Amino acid sequence: MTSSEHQSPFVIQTKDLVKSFQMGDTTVTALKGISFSLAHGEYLSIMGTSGSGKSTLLNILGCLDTPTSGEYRLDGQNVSKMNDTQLSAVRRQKFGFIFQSFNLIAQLSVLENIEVPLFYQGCPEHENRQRSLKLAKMVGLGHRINHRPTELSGGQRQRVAIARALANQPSLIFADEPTGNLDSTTGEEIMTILDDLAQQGRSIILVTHEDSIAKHAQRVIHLLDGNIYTDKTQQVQIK
Amino acid sequence: MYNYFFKLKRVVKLGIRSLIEHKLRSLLTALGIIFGVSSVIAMLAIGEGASYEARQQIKSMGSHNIIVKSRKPGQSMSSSQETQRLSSYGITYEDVIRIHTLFPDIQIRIPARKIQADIRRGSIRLPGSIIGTIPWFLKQSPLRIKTGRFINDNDMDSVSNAAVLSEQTAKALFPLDYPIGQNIYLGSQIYEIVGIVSDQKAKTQAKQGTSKKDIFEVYISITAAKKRFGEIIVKRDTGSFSMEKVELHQLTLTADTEDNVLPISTAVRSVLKYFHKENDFEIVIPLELLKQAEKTKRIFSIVLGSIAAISLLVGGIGIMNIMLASVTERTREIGIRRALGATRGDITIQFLTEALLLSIAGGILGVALGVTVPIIISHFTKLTTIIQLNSLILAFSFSVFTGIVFGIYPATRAAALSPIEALRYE
Repeated sequence: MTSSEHQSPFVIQTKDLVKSFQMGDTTVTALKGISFSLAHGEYLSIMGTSGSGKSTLLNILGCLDTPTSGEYRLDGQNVSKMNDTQLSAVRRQKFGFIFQSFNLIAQLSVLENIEVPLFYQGCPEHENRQRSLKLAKMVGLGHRINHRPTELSGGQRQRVAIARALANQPSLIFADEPTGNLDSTTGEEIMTILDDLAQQGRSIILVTHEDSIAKHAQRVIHLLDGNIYTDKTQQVQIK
Repeated sequence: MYNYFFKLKRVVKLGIRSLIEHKLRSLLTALGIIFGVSSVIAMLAIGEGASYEARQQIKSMGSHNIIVKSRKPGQSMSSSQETQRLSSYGITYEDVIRIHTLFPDIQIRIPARKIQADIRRGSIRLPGSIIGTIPWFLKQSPLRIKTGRFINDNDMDSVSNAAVLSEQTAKALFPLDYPIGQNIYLGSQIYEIVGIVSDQKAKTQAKQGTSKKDIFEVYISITAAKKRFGEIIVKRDTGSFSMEKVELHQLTLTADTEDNVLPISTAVRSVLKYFHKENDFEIVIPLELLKQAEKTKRIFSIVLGSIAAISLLVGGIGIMNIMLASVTERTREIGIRRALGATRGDITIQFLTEALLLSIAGGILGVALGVTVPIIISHFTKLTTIIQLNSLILAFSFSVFTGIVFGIYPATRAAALSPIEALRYE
């Protein structure tokens, strides 16, 4: 299912990614030429203060936005020139998103939320249900599948979001401040799940401004004013 | 293909859930459509019922018929003749003959002129009905010549005293001898018997035992009836009385085909106009009335159609309004779905489906209400209402059409949102 055709050793290759916005009369350049690569199974955290461009970078990497210039290759495929429908397909097939504010659909139950990505892939209802149920059990919510997100705690909601992000068996998981809305204990629990996923060989890009969270990744990229400031590989303490 | 169907099914389910989630809001939105659809159906049913009644009435007059009626000339004319005690107007037997000469093939029916008078022969006296008739009456009636002949044109022209007896009359008057050539008294006048007719219908009725008691009928020419028995209507008003003489109140001409109705009526009108200085007749053409009724109905339908269009337009605007609000309210959801891989098309379909479901639900409830209202109306007012399947289909499909038209804009607005903008929306 996932890109087993590894023509390229890298999931992501970017070259001189530039993103500028028109703000009234002035042009704001949020990204000033980002070039980096992400290997398969790599666990990367992107750090930076607000305004450093990390959210913009995440949006472009997550195919939610397109760069103004530069090249972005995903599994060897140039996605920087793709149209909206093609980008939707990329998100649908290759990405899993975990957001700070969980972003669950309030009208849907836990199970139905997990079913959404596979639904858009056109997966048959029965199969979708089976797979989603398995994921719900995996994140420890097998007993709450018929609850609405509002009836869950923050940690539980983020678990649902993780289950949902895994539903389409993505080649890359984006986690945007996944612990930002959680207390430290719950945050650690969520990070443990992410660490487990990384250990299973999934590529993860984690965006955070907290050092303690960034520590979980093997590699940390620091952004400053739209440029890569540092790109370090670090020793991760495994419990 | 399978995936497509599956997706649609899921989207419909989702739409139904989201409408149920906001029950009151959905109901209020659908109300515009419900009232639009039901009022169209109800009005069409009432209109159809009324026009059906009108058409039935006209049809009972016969669509092949041309009815010529005597009419009292205009008041202004009669006021100058007020001093005249006897006013004579209307169609005459001569007119009938003129029409008959002009169109020998068309049926002309004259209401039977029956005069009650005694029939006498020597010492036998019978209460009789004397019927003034025309030669071709024979062809149009169940009467058959048994002996002798019927009234002929010669009798008409010369106002002869020829009389034709019915079988019963003949048997009662002449139990023993041959009646032809003999004389009888009708009232105070002497008539010569020229023929005997038998009534086919009366015979079969007699066999079935349903015949009325013996009717003693004598046929004479209508000209003779006019001359000898006349018809004078005496009207007594307070203080004064006037006398009016009308030879014939009404003629019914029957054309062989509908196409001939109008040409014949035009010709008849011009002939009568030529011989009538005063405007003392009128021609009623049921076919023309029917056409007029159809035309009225068409206008009525156009008016109703406009009302329908307007009310459904209003309903549609309601749907658009609520869908736009819904898009704003669910911007975040749209962003989430887009991030998870939904295409613009997926989002469009989701919102369009919701608008459609609203209008379909409104349409169904509207049809239900629209069918109930005419039934209640006809139950309480005795008005005929006819609910036509066409009107149901029309109103329903129009409401669905409205849903599509007014759902498209909000749906495309939803789809046009950029995923990040939508995700950031608070």
